[in-house]
Amino acid sequence: MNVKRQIADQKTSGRRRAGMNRRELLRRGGMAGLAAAGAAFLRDIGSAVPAAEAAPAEPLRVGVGALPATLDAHLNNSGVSFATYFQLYEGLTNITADGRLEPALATAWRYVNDLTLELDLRRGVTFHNGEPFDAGVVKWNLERIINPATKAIVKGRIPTVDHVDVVDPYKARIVLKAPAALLTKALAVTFMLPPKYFEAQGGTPGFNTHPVGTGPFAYAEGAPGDHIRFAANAKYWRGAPKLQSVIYQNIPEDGARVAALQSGQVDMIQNLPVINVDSVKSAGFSIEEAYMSRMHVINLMIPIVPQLRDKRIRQALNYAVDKNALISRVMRGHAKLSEGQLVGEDGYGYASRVKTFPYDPARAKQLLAAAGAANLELTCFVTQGAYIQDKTTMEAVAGFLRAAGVRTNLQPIQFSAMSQRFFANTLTGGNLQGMNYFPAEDADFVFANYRSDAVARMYDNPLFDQSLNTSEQELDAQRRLALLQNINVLLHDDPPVIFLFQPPDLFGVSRRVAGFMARHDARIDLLNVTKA
Amino acid sequence: MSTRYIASRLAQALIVLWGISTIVFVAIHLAGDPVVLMVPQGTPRAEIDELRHQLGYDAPLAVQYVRFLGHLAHLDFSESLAYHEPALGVVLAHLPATLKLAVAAAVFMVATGLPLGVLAAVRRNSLADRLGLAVALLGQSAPTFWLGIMLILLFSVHWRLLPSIGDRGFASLVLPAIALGSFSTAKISRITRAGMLEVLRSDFLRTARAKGATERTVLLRHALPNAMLSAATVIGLEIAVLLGGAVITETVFAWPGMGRLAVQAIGQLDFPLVQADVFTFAVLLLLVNFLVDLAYPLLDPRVRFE
Repeated sequence: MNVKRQIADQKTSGRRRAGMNRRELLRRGGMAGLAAAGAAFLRDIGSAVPAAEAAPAEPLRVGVGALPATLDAHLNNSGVSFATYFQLYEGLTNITADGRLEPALATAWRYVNDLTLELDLRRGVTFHNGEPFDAGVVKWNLERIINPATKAIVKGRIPTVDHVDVVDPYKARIVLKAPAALLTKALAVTFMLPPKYFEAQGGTPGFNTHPVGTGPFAYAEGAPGDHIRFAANAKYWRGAPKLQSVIYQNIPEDGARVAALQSGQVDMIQNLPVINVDSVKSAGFSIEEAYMSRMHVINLMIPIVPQLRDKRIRQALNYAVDKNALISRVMRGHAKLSEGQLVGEDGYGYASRVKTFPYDPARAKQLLAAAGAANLELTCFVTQGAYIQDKTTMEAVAGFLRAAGVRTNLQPIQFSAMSQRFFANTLTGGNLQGMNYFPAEDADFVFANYRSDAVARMYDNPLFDQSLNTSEQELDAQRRLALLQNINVLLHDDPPVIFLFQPPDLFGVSRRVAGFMARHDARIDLLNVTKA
Repeated sequence: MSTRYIASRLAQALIVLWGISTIVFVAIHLAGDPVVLMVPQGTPRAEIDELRHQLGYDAPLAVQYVRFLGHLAHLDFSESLAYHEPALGVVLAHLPATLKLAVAAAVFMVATGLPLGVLAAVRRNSLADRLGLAVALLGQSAPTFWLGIMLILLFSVHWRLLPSIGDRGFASLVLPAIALGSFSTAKISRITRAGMLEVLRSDFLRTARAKGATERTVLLRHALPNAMLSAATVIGLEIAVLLGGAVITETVFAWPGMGRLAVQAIGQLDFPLVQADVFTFAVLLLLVNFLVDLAYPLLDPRVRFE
């Protein structure tokens, strides 16, 4: 305890003296074996262990759970990459923290006809390297994505784009093969890269070494898999960020990330595990969280699990699970109940008239008996670490199902193996998955997974297929909203899943950091963040 | 050392590398189809098939294997599916961090293991010997990840003395090197102790003492080099263990090396990256073994290469 006090005292009285004290401690601690490297070692310690006080220009250090493997934003579809990409790049449109669509690199847009979207582009925007942003850039980016030779994973976001016409330097027309109601939302995550620079770098590998975009922060330097340092883009069109510099430190392991926060090596961490929330809070850090636009559900895989074909059985499974208990015990209060549908209130298409299945084991048993499924057996696949609290959630769900008389067979499986079987249509049992409806905040994003002709077959309902197709051709926003809400009603009556909850995006944040708010879509918005 | 010896070692190495590559090829292809992990949920089947064809994963396994061997001959593992860059290049970018950690851990294990072993042998059955045994036992029984977490909790979170994440300067190397090296410290100290005890009984030490050599000279100049032979073998083997243990240590300490890269690549079924990573580990191991063999004649002039 004495030692700790001493350190704490030294911390307030200045960095140099703290260094002296550490030296003494090290000697006592018997580190003499490393004395050969003495001088360099001690110098390093002085700089590598952040002291509690800071110069104003010190960077904000963020401990992230993952860094994208590639910084070529057209080649990576994962939601976790948004935390990095949105610092560097921007789309033509933007989705706000409360889920509204707003202008970004495009200032206005209109449909000339069902198959042509005309965009007015923001003037005076330049990439970090000075390359101007104009209609030619839009054409190059969209056509690069849809070109099969690019093998762009994000092509699925804009599947019906045929080509782009440059009308004048600040006006572009996107020409479609088929109407696409989601196009303007998809453009929020269709990142604009600088064509001339990209080609001068010789393509993806060269671009990766020093990527360039129009976003609030520019790439300064980095080491693959270790860290990225960003520098503020002083010419950012929304106004320069308040922070001079930001470092993303990659710390995939949960415990290591929490330790990095508690030891002051980083100022904030992403993916704070729910079990650490209380201890981090009592250690004097603040917790920032937002419910993600993601629904945790137990997929029931009806086409390949024939014993679940009768919809009464699936209703029974929904009645059998106490969702509120899951939220309070397993998620420790950090989750938002699903109102018996695949999106939350934040999702376009949410139907307020649909309500959650109440916890009613008696009714569950009754429905199972009525469906002649009193001896129902169900395999439950259990992953660990793929989603927040996934293992515990699945085990608890299985417990509730057993209490309702279902014979469950818990089968641990690695997430990559589960994905394999999922897409090979051999995942014959209940499985927990987080179904994303960000970035578009649109129910269509989730619904699309339950089409009967999806690669991974989870549901088989002709009426649903038909309703979804109708909604996707509907360009009138109000009419499409009504169609999506009707689909939620339909999916409540004939549930493809056990509806659970929206998980949180949880951050642990040092008290020195101000102005940070978590978002629903895995982005880390640092534009107005300051560090004392 | 004859040219023939080197040639035969080289031939052996090639066979080992071919064997390892083949095992990894088969194992990773058994794990499944990487393409479905790359595309967004809800991608139409036709698009998935097209991507699979572009990447060549629709060909029969035999065809893929021949293609793989052909590329391997040019050290071309093709493009990483996640990084979209040549896989070997990605691995080599992570190599220095792993080497740094392995060297630091090796230095730690030798610098602690040898003195402890010598001390235990000289003061046989003393308190120091028993304490050494206890420490050795503890070091061998404590799992690397547990030790790593304990070190982080004490030295980073509690005392704030040393950094626990990433590769930034010498200080950041200390905790991971200790976590990784202490497992082997135990073994090396025990082997050194046993070797020393055997040598200490031999006649030439009595001769040395009779000549009037100081006890210090007897131990360090006469006894230790003879005891080192068995220790050298173990040190070589332990370096192999270090490289394997790096997978865990790198994960716990957010160390940007090849071990963590391998874990990541396997999770994403990034076939080319897994193959390049394991291949590079294999080359490292062969190199270490070769160097240990070369060190034998230096330690024991009776050893000759045929």
